Amino acid sequence: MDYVLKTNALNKYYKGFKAVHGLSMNVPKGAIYGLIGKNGAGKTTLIRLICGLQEPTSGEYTLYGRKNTEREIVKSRRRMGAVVETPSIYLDMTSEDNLKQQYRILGLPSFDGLEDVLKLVGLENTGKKKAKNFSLGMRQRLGIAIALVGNPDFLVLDEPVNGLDPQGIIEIRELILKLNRQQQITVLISSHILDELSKLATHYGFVDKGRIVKEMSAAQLEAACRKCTRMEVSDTKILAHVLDEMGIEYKIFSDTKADVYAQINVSKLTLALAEYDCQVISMKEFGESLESYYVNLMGGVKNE
Amino acid sequence: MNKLLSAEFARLSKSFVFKMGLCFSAGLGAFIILMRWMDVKKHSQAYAELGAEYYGADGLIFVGGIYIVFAVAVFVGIFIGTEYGDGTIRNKLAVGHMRKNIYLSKLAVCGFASLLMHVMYIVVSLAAGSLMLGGTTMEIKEILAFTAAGVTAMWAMTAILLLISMSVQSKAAGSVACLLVTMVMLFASLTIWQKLSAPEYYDTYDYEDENAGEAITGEDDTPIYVDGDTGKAMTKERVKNPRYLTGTKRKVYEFLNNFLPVSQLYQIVMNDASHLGLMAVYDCLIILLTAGLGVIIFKKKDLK
Repeated sequence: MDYVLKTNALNKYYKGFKAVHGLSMNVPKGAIYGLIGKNGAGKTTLIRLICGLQEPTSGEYTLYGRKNTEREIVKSRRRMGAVVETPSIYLDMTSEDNLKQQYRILGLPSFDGLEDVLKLVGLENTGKKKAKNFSLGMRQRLGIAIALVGNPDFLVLDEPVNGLDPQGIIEIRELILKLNRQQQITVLISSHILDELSKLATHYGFVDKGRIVKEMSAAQLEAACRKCTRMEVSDTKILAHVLDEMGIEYKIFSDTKADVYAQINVSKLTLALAEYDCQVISMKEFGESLESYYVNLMGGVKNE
Repeated sequence: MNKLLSAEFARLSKSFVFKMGLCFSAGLGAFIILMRWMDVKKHSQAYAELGAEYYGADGLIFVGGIYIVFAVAVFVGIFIGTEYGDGTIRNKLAVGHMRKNIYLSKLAVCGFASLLMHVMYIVVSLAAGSLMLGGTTMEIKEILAFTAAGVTAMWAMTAILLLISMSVQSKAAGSVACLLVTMVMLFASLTIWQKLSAPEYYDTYDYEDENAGEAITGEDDTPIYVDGDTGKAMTKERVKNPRYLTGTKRKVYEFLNNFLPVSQLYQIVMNDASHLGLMAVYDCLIILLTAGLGVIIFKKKDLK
């Protein structure tokens, strides 16, 4: 498998505080790699290291096959675009002027494709409006547009939907999916919003205390997430008795609700319950979510 | 480096603070000449007796340097602070530009901006002086020498201010620090100039004879003066000034007077051309030292 980014035992310490501690991860080419972790887990520090804003204390990373210690790493960086924390835009410039600045920084011979980039992020009609008058969502999209100048193969997005309204979140999600599917751009994205990330990511890296706790593909996550049937019955005591007899794993929530962790034969179970005069009111199939998986992995309280 | 210079100059051309700085320089040049013109109109007789170098623009062409250095401090603080504040410096690093080149491109652009502000004042004051005060008695060679000295001093000052603002990752703190340093340097320069200008001897007057009516020469040829108001006879004596700097202390003050860019500007204001060459050498030294130190600090800086 081709990897865009590989880190090997990466460390970043600030005066004794271990922000990143022996972090190893692999971002496959063409993936949308979701970086998941709580505040202070080391996600942003990792992104800062990858973007060259900070130097690792020890360890190394490889970007497009070039180690961070090599001088040639600058060539690999030219293939990437990044939005770290807040969008990096000149607030006193228009969206077009902001993009032109990035064209100059990259040394592109002309401004060809500028309109296309603006259209891609939906900012083609902002005219002479300065970025300081943009909404948060517009600024975020402009930040992504700047990161897209020069047609990068690798996009690094740090909390791109932070503070956005639902419409803004949908727009950014669709934009990322479009970039990944239509232009085959590899995306490394960090987010707190697990539900949102689960709609995008093809790969996950769970970060805690500066290191990757678990790295897996979306397919592996799906396989790992247990399926269950949520049942509402007239008496869960009877349900528990019947399930015990059948040897099926379950979890009781209340007098009437329970989760059953198995592929059950509905007719057989219903008839068995009917023998004890227990009625089945409803049945719903549930899959364990990314959130549940995250909580189980990291520890914490699940939001029911 | 060329890509960065192109981007920085494009940004400079759109910078509101820079445009305001240019307007301030031009306005100051015109204002100072206008003030002198009004004074000459009011006291035409007195100015006519003093001579052309007093009623002309001679003493005014380089006065602005002392004020413009503050405009440069505000400009550098905001222009550089914005890069950190808006996070746009990340766009340069993330695409592979080297920190040394980023720093040096900023030195070039800020130095050029300070040059333009300084020259703008000189050109406007010369033009307005020619129209309103009948020009200057200074020779073109002399004007060019002072202008070149002012420009190098301004560039050296810009290098110091750049070192400060690139070391402080905050727009507000950087701007305040730049202004404070400029103020401290100005006060230091005035103090140095004052101490160095103190006479080695000063005259004391003692009442010789309360009943004497007119000036006579004493027995030992000591001149005797008459107090114009009281008609009393006085003797004049040369006394050594205890505040006159001598030895190493004087050499240190002389060195600082020629070394500090604001002191250099003050010497230019006073039309003192005795050390212009040495001052230019010191300016080059300041630019090289601050740039070297600045690059080292910036290379080690953890950016957010």
